Amino acid sequence: MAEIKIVVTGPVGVGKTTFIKAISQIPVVETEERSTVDIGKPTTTVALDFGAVNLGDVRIRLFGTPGQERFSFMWEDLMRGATGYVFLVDSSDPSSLPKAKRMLQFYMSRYDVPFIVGATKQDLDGAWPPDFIAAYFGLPEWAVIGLVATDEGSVREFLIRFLELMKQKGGKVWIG
Amino acid sequence: MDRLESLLHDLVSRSPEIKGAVLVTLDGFPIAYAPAHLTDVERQAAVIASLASLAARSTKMVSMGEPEEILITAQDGRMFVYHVEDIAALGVLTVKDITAGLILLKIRQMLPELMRELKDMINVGGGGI
Repeated sequence: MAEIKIVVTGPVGVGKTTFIKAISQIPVVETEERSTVDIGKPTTTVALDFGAVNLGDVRIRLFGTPGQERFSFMWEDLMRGATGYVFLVDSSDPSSLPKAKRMLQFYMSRYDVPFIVGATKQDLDGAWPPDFIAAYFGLPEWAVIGLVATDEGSVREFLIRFLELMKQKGGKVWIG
Repeated sequence: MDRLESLLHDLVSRSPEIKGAVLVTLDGFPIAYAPAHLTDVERQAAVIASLASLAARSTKMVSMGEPEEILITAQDGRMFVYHVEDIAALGVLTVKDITAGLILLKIRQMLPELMRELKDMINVGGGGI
């Protein structure tokens, strides 16, 4: 069985930990701590999340990053040896997108591996559709996929699509 | 200088082997540190919080309970990290050649006092840190 490492990243509050918990077939290693400032949720990841799932003949090891910039040293550590990364953004909060775009540009400039953008919270009213987000990020439409991170089926479909794209494109997912 | 900083200052100033001490929230913000000229405190705070959290996950995973003390020995020094109950973490930086027992004793003696001050701070500030 092929084994790959996929990093799950994106700004704070987009659902990275939720994404991994929804799909992992092993108990997830979490490093959630109570947040002392208002970030829109009670806890925050301070080191990493880890989970794993078998999809077809591929075992995916999922490493989630902290979203907050002061933990950006972990981004670098976790990206070491990654086959690719999933960049999650909050579709229901367009005001978070400029910051997300800057973070994505940071990743794109640093890591020459395939990635896919996951537009989370598609179940919420007013969520931007994935093609709007693709246009905002200047990415081809196929590089942004909508999902609901709390829903195992949605996360599974998303990861299967990412694996397909990696096979088809064989390299840089962001080049249309 | 507030009471927490003064406790850290006392620890550092009484032991030449101790180069610095940083008390941080578990989500990685500095609360207090010594000496005053210690640099890069914000980044140190984030790293100390990550270390404390990872250590807790590591020991719980193998049914060892909560970590009491983390020691990292590097080429040019040592770093100790302590959980201050479930409120904060304390990072202490020392030179490499230390009389470990003595240093540990000094740190451990200070921890209950640090804990009391932190709790007072939370009570006064209504859960503020």
